[in-house]
Amino acid sequence: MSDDLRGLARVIVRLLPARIAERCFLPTYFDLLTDHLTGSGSPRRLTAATRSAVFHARVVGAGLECALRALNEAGQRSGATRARPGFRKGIDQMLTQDLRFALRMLWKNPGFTSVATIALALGIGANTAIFSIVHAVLLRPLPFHEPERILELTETARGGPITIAPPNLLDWKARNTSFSAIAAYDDAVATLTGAGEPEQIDVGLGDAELFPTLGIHSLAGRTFVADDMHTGAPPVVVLGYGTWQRRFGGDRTIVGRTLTFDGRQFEVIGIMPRGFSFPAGVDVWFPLKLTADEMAPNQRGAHYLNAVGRLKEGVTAEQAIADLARIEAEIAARYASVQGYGVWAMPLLDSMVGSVRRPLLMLLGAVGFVLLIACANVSSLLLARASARRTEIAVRCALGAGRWRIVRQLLAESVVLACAGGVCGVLLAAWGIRALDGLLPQDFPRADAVGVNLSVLSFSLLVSISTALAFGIAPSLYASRPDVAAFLKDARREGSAGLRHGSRRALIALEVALALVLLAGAGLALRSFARLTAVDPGFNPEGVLALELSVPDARYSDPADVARFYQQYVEALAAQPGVVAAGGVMRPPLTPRGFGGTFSIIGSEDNDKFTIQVRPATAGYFEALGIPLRRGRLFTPADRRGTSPVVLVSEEAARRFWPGKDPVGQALRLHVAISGDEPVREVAGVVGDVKLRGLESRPSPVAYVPHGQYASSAMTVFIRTHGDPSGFALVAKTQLALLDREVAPTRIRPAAAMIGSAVAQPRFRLVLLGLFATIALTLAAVGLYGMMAFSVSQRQGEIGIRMALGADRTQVMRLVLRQGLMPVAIGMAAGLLGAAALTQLLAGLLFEISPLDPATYLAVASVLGAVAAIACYIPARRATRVDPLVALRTE
Amino acid sequence: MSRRRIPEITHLQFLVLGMLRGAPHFGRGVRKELARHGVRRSGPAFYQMMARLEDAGLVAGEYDQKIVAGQIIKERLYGLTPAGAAAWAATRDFYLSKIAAFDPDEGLTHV
Repeated sequence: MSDDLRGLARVIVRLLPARIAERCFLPTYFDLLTDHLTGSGSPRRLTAATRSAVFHARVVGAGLECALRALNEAGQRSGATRARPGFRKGIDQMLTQDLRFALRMLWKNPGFTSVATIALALGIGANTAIFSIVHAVLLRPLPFHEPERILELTETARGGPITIAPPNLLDWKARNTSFSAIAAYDDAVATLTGAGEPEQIDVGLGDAELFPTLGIHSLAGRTFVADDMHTGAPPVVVLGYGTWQRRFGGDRTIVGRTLTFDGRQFEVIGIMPRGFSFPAGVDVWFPLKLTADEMAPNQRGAHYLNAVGRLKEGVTAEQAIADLARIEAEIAARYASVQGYGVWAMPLLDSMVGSVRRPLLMLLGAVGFVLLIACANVSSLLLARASARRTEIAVRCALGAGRWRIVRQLLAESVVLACAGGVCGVLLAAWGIRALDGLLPQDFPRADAVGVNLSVLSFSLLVSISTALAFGIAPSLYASRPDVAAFLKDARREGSAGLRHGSRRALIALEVALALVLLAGAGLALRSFARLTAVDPGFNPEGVLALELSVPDARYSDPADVARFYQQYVEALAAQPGVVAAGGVMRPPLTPRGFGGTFSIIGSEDNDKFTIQVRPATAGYFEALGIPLRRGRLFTPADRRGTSPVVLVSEEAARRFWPGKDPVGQALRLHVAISGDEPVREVAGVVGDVKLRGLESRPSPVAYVPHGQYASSAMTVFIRTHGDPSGFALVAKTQLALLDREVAPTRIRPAAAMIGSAVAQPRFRLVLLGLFATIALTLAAVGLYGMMAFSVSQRQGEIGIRMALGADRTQVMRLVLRQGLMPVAIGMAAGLLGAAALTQLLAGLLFEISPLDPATYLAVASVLGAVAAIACYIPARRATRVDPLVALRTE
Repeated sequence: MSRRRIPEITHLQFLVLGMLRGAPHFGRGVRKELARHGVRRSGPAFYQMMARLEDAGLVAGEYDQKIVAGQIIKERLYGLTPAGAAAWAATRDFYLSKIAAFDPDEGLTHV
């Protein structure tokens, strides 16, 4: 936290003059920091986040006041305000006279004011909207006690993190010296009945250490204790605040009463406080009870647990990782199935948001570019305006106004413009955040708190003021040193000096360069997205309906009952008119979470070194999802408990583990058992590869086992139909109700939606990058058009003389176009170089496309060139229509 | 009799210099004391006033470190310079002389 606070102060200190920063701002900042740290700066009833936002706002406010005082001092030193001693009066003057005059001037130029405000609103609004996401996801601290001490723990295989085998986790807990607590957790779904409508709820499973590790105490009642974890212990449940309020109206007497989940009675032992949810989205918790079978040494290859650990005081993450690695090495020395595995740990926040950190920072950078373009645009407009106002300013100087007095007044106009842009920008952002809410992928972490809050408003205020200085300072300095004598002598030629000034062309070049970088980024994202959506997932989702469901353990405790239920269900579905095939699988394709472990090939010497994903599947699954059979046979209803154990392997598994051989007929033993020891299985066939974790993932080796021999209570059932699959949802539900009224599907959706979910994050990036690139292109085009139109209007006399002396329209057009397209060409050259450098940051986010893809660069350069040419052509054509007689008469 | 000149420091500056006569004070403490007299200044306004007193040589300021909630905090510590003490004394003497010369019936007997 402190780094965040000091970072803001450092920025302000750098922006302020040294004397003011050192002796005026810093002592104020440390006073505010003391108030903040001791809690005396704001009411104690405020949440930590709100107090932090208030503190930030106060620091920004102090920075602004110091900036105004610095300006006032500078003005006093220049002598402009000699007659008005006293800072309060000086500031009053700044805030009243200058601002009033600024408002009057802007009111008199509605066209300029509107264009500048819209440009700034787009820039500030886009920045505010993206910052609101960055703040909610990356900057907002986790709602746990000392969250920086909590680490997410994983095992690793082949360099990548995987879930943890229960016996290994027990060893970590018992033998580590770095953690004050280590907790295992998992998530699941349960149906709450008997208190209103049945409701499917995301639930968490945690051991007795889960809540102490997170540093969270219950709001009422208690959390889990070690006795709750025994398999014979009375069933208990802890309710989350949301469920407690929604289902039971906040009734505290619920503690001690029993509730029915999945057909079993659970005693409510506690209620968790508001805002607590872990894992994300979970609002009810059950004890994670591990059976003796699950903790047996032969389960060291079965990876399915998640874990968090709280570091002891003074222990670093590196020391903790080394400690766990030592334990893992000791385990590996005793058990072959653990050889090749490692350990890894990372801060819990990083593990939750690590996948979106880079895309979000990339988007924040992109909107920063949009804001820079907006600033350049407004700065360019102000320079043009300053040129037009040089006589006015010369008169002021002649009447005794000092340079700082002029700068101050012009800066006041910039501040008013920036504030107007800021207010409109925040409104735009508030609307944009609502739009983004629908665009955010469903699995986007910590997106629940995205919105406009005090931190976001402080950011907007800071951006607005920085923006005012960024676009206002150069035109103010430029306009405040007029050649008074020259302008007073020949006021009519006021435009020429401004015209010769290269600043506006430099700004246009900058706008074009930045717009090209954004266009290149958006172009690459578009091509990457197109390639990603063209990837063959290994199955055919067209005409397929997917149902996620889970049978309650209470009534389906025997695996044979579970297998029988699913077999009956898919057979009933397959018998319905219009249904081509039906079948189920545990953890369907395109699901981030896996289930797998090591296995042995019977007769091979390299046993226990291979890992494989395991998927229990029913007969009909491969036909329903259109996964092709390559060799051998598929599962049939006859593959059930008591018959010969079989397994199907994917093509990748066949290639990797039986290179150059036919795996059909080979024997293997999985080390991932749901209960008891796994038998030796014969490979009955080879099926096509499917994308397991995502469209961009490489094929993983998979072992499919018959659900009848390896029953799982949570399955996804696929129904291949003729026509629109959505129409079969009712049929699927009816058949389910006929089998068991108390089993309800968690989710029903077309299988094609699984593809949509898999590309949700790239689509989110593409839409935003495309939007920002469009805004950038529009702003650059408007800036270029504005510069050209102003230039032509100022040069009417000169063009008239040229035409009177014999220049034809083509020559005039060439002259004007050359002047306009020169900065565009320079900007495009710089932009191409910048894009080549900056799009390297996109490298990890692109799919099968190089950040230096020449076709993309050519396309975006052509688009930008065409837009720039149109923006120049319209004023150039107007220039060719200048009547020499009229122009000369004016001259 | 030599004529005393009107003091160049303001009432507020006189108050601040007076507070610093006994011992150096942190800026935070001076601000609180001013607040007790009904003088409320924002942080930047107060510290800018102190900076001006420093520039005028009436006050000497330096940063002092302390730990608050595990974090290093710097506080500006102000002490009175000899010039500051002289300015305060001169102002006090000026007003004392004016009070001494004040006759309730006649008004000021001399200026």
